[in-house]
Amino acid sequence: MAEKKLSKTNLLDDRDIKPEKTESPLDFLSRTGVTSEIKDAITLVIENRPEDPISFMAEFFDSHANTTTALVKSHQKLLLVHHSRPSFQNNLVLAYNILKQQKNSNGLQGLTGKTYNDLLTLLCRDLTGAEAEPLQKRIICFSHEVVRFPVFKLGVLSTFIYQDFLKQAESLYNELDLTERGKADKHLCEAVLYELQQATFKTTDDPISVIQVGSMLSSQHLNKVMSEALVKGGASSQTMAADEFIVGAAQILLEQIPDFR
Amino acid sequence: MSGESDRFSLTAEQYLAKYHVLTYLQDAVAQLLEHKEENPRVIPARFLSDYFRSVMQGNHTLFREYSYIRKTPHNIASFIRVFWKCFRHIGRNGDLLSAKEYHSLICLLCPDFPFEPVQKTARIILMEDAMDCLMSFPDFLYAFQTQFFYEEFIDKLHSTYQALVSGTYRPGQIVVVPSTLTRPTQHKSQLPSHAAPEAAQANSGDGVDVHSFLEAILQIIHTSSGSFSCPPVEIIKDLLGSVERVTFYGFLIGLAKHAGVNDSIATLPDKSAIMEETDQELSSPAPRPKSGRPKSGISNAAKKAL
Repeated sequence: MAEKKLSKTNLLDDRDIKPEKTESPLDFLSRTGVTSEIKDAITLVIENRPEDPISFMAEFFDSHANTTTALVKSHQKLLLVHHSRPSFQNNLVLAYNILKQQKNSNGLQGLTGKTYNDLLTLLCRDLTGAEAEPLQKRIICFSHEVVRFPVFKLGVLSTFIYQDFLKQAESLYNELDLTERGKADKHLCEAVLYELQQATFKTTDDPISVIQVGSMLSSQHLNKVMSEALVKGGASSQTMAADEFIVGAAQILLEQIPDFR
Repeated sequence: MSGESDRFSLTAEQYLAKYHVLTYLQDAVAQLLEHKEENPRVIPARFLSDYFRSVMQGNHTLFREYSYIRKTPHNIASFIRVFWKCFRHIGRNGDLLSAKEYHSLICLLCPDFPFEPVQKTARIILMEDAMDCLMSFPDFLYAFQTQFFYEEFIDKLHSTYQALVSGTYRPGQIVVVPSTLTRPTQHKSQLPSHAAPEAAQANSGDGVDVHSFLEAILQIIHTSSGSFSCPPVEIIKDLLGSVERVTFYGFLIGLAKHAGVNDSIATLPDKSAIMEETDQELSSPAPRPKSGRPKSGISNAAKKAL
């Protein structure tokens, strides 16, 4: 919990935490974790801007008072802010530490694959089985192995990004669905998927490749590709279903997840 | 009240200030520390959760100090509701009480509640004179609600009204009001233009010309910019639309009796329902103007993260 103490000092004077009877109010608040809870609460409120922040706070402290398992605790930590926010990195470490300090049945400490897999399942609970399966195949560990932080970070981040990505893919499909009848032209979809795939292949260690990819996925270039695809496809009435498109797009993403295991 | 986009276009500070999040957090921690002295085994998260839940339900102002009640509109509204819930049997019995007696009742709920707001409430009902007269509970309740909820607005309006009235005696002069309020210079410069027609009508009756009165009100609402509660403009226009001249207390009693005012504060039920004894009323939370709360903080965060 070294991280946690570090962050607290921002809010508090740098006092030693004395467990004596004459503890100051600030010491009491930091000892009982109120300081960090309030920090979390305000972060959460500002990030989410709930319509009724007061009831939001009530729910927040309620869930904190009832939190029992380390799994739920770390899950909440991960959901505190969106993963694109800088403070997510901090939360990631905290979540890992919470899980790591759990005692296992054999008396050893550390994050086992079992807990890690449980956490991933928890994070994936909004996905359908068909959506979650290919992802879990790539990031899940054996239940007896020890999960190191890079693996943990990769797994959690992949899960979040994957979920965002599915949303993006769906909206992309809706864009491609020119007739708005829930069916997009097959050639068009394939062309776009192909471009996407090429773009991911192009990225190498060379920083310039990122710029090249950027131009590949620019609206100008995509416009050109898509109009070509439409002309080539002509009047063919072949279509691609939304599921098929999203699975195809997801496949491209999943291939990018490196294997640290 | 506040649209979705409105909420997200604010800066973090503005957002927190708008919903008084920090006010409540500060008070919650202060309460926690006080509570801890007597109950060292308190679970802080549970205490805070209970605190915010009671803020939501509107029974957090009971037995609290006056300064705390005054802090947010929600606190004021909650206090008025608690007052109604505790003493409505008085209204059912049809007892009439004086301002002093009403003040004693309020002091049972808030020991350091000053007499002044109660006195001002009595003035609204009794039209400034006959201060020892007795008032019925519903009359007092709605006038008290108006006076207490719009206190700052009414204070400002009072000074402006006096300026308008005295302006009729000295047309063409800018009136300096002996009060602490900071009236905008823009408004002062508007006064002379209205002073002439007022002077003509000054002999025709009490009060001031309704147009200059309305303009003064709009000016106050405009300068408030959300820092204190003002009655909705439509209601004011509705009240003033049918009259030529208006007096200060005449306007206030109209405001107190207007159903729209009651709706906008959203604390008390309709006048017809005020006496009804329903047990579930006692336990149900006060309807808050900011409704539509998220089901769960965590699930909400989850939605955001996806």
